[in-house]
Amino acid sequence: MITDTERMNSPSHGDIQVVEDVISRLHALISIAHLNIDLVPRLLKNGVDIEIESSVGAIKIPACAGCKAYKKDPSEAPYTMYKVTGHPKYYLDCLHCPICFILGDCNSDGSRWASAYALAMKGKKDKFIEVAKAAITRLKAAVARWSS
Amino acid sequence: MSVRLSDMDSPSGKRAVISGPSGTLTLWYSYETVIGFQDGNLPRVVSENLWSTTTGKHLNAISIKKDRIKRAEFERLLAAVMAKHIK
Repeated sequence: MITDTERMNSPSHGDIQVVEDVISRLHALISIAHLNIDLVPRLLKNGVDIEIESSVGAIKIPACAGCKAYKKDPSEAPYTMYKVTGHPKYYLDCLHCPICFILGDCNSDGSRWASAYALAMKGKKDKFIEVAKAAITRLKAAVARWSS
Repeated sequence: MSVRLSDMDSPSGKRAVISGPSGTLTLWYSYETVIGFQDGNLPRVVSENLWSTTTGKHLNAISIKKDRIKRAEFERLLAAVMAKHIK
């Protein structure tokens, strides 16, 4: 059986692609947040396709499942985010809606998702953008580490 | 639901077209402020100018001065249309 450490040290091409997709989603969310932070939680709640002309192109962000999909059986959770963060509480499904991940404190059971959602709901635009950019930096560092 | 973001005549002016179950809502932004919107094919609603020359140019690009409404009324209508389109 492959260990968690081995998983972290052996990213697949699919892992890298997933993380690069998330980086694009975060850039798209930052663009929306700059215009109107109130739109961010409303759009994520529904799921949204974002198209930004002449920059990142078309981005699809499915509605957040609140990470509850794996609550019943966490052993089924994929490990891409574990490889990024080194902590098993981040699961691949978090990447579908990066609002949890940008705060870096998703508990995988949906409890922290509520607080992340609240951050955008409260209109804390500067904080939202700050942590989104920090998340991009972390993700890029992971990709660079994997590629070296 | 989908959002399409594009620049107006300059990067400081943006247009966001939001499409969803309730139809299409177009929002025009100057910097980070909504200055106009259009709900489907209904008449465009545009705010009076309370800002800079640049925002004035953005307003001129989407409206003529006599058609603009008071900001308070604009914000009331904007809140209603946002609630309709983005629940």
